[in-house]
Amino acid sequence: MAKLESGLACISSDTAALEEFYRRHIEAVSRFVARRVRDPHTAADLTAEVFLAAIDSAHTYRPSAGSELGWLYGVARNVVATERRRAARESRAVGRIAGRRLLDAEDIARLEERIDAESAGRHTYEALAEFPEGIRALLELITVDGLTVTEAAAALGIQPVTARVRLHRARKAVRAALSTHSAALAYSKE
Amino acid sequence: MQKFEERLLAELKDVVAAQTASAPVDSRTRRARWRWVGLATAAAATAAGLAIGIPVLTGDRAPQANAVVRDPDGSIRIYIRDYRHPEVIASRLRGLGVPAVVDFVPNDKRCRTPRGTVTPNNDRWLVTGEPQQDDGQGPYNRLHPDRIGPGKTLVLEVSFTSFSGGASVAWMFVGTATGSVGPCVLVPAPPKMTRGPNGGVGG
Repeated sequence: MAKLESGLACISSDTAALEEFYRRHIEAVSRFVARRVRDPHTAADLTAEVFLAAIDSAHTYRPSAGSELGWLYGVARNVVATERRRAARESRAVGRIAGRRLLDAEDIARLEERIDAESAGRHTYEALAEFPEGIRALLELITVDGLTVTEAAAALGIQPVTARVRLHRARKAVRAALSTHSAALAYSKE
Repeated sequence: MQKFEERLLAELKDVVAAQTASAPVDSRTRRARWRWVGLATAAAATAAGLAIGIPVLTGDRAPQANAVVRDPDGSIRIYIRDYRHPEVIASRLRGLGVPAVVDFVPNDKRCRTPRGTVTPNNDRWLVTGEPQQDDGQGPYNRLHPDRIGPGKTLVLEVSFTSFSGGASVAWMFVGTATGSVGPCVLVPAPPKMTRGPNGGVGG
């Protein structure tokens, strides 16, 4: 654990550090993905791609900028957003790292259960699709993933004050659009 | 943890191990060790419907992690240094917004066709090599994603030759696909497509 305190760069070169990091966050990443996609095969692909992206960009993490999980959610959000843009252009997924190749029937059933369990968050995520990107990114991390405003700002690489301004602008629109989940936003923590 | 998570961890550790296995190589050494596939190879490969223009690694250079880097003009440098994880290149290209299917195949094989609606892109210079350039990280090919076309997927099939102390690119098929691309099922390559480590075209 000590080696991770100064950053995450070691996960791209040290398999033991990677394993430690992976085991610490696989559950959170799996749920993050399950709040965004309905298909277990796509969920498996995205989970694999999130960790690959984390390995690639581990050197960018700075503990002083926020929590490790917040940073990882920022990475995961970029991966999912890229997939969403790609999916808008194509009818089906092609040739990624093939997380789906690692699935057996039991895995699929288990992923489907997880996806079902995250349906409330996924509905919120889908409802946010109509918002402008900058606001949507912030709202996603707060209302769907439960980050604080400060954590969400760190995940998105923006200043907390910028996040608060965006949040202020978004509140009225969100209350109108998301009657069920606006409470989470109203009580979001610093 | 259960099965999928354990299998995924094993794959990720393989990727990191491949990166860890790489050793820094002095750029002057690298510069001396790579060269361009000759015109004879280009002619033979182009006749076979293959894009060409492949920087080649020779000698005892240790394998390094594959990488893709976007430049300010929007083009992307593709570094092929390791012939075990084509999915890493595909994934990284997708991370840059380029849908891609990448396969590595031994020199005497190629992917069975058709794999879908795939069009070779020799004439559009989708991927170009830059034999005079070595940015200190080794040779690379340059992808021009703006030439792929909307809604299409980049298809790269990279043939490599293994030899004592390293491996090199033998040829590269570059195409674009409309719709899905089938898996790469290896079949024997025509003899004229095979190439030895000295750069000569077989057959």
